[in-house]
Amino acid sequence: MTESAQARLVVENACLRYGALDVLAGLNLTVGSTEIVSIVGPSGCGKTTLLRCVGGLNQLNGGTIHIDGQRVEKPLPSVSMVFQHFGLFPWKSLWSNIAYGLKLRHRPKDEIASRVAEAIELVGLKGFEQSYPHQLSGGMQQRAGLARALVMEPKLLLMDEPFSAIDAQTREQLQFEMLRIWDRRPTAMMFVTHAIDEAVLMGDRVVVLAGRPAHVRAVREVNLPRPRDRSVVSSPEFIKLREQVWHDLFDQPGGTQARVQ
Amino acid sequence: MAAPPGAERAPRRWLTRERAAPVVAGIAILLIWEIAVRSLLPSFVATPTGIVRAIPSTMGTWAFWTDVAVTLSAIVQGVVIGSAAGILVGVAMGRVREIDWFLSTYIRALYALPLIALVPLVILWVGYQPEARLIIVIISVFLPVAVTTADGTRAISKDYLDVGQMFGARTHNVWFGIALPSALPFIIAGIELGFARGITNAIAVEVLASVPGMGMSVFTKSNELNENASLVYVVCLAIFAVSVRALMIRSRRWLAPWYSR
Repeated sequence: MTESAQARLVVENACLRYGALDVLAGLNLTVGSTEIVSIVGPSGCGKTTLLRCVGGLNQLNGGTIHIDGQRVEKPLPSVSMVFQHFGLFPWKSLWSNIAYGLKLRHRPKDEIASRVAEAIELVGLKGFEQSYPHQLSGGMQQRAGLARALVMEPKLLLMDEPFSAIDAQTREQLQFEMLRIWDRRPTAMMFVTHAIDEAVLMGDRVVVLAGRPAHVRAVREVNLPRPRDRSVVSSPEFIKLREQVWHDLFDQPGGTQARVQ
Repeated sequence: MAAPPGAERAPRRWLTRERAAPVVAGIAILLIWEIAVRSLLPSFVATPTGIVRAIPSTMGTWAFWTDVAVTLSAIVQGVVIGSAAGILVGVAMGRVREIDWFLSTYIRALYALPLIALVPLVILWVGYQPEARLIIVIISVFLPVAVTTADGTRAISKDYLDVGQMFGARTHNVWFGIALPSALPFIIAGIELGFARGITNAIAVEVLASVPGMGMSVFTKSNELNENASLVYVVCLAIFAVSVRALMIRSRRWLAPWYSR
């Protein structure tokens, strides 16, 4: 956190339990105003739950979440989310799916038209406005999911394993496009993923969670230059960081317990 | 890039064995019928050729078209009113648990009941009037539509609800913007079932309550030993029922194209 010094998102001592099951136990996290923080952790460790709490979709039992000083108790209009399974409405055209949030907030018609057109352009879906989700590939559906989030001009973008349901080649393509979009419109982002490569490639910091209950096991600063392109992936720093995160994830004091579970 | 919408369907042969089969079966049945009646039964018993010969004298009268108009318009009115009411009650049951607790048992019990049993009751309320037919049709359609709408709106994907919540949907947005469209395939199935029951019960009311219409004429013609004329009505009803089914299949493809995939 250098130039993006003031924190946009502050999670303090977040605790969440379902019955006897501790999901989050005193977790702390900050995200700067134009910072991308990647969250990695083994599946079921609570990283998506944490993201949903920040989004206001789940409630904490203890601790607080503040976004720009405002306490999160329900979804805030300044926060958008991109979902793992896209969550596009199959009965709406791409255009209507992307305009959904603006329509719910009763923005004027011409403002909706221009902002949606801009978002469609940004994610490279021009010409598909009137297509329906079931007519498009997974990659294109997620582009639409991204456009639907970006069109709200969020101050914080929550990414819930956005590329995990997409084939490997398209995923790579989308990762770099996501970076390109961020370069054009830097914003705070919380990027949940289970792919170590993706976490390092996207993030300014990589937060390694371990569960359960979820707690921060390690934080790695990613000092790779921006804008990042494909050459980054083969750089020694990238490879070194990837190794470090791998070890953060899998080496633990309790031996091989995590893998056995 | 994906194929443009609608371009993926290959041209299909019009005459397939699947389509020819019911025609062949129909011709066989008509032939057996004709031969059996002519060789075994008295001359006033209806035959396929007799029905065809009775068409001009039956369909050439005002009385016939009045019968068709009153019966079919009552059915259509009943379907419109019953569907609208069924959808509203169904969405309420599907989305509000407490409403479901109160109503579900009774609506499902009535749904399982043959509505013919209610005809004497309805005649008691409104007398031997055309309204009895309309009321029975409305109930016939209301029940299956309410049940399928409740089931459909209860089972909406959590992904859709998350999206709605995240982008600021209020309760009425969730009901009518998410639950209702996602339940459309269920609702159409309910209307289709209701239509079929509505036709059956409309005819039954006409017979039981002596309400003028196609059903009553089927019986009066038959009692006058004019079986051929009576069956002209039956054939018209059958054509109507088949058309309704075709219309429902079309409307499902048109309104919920994502569903049949």
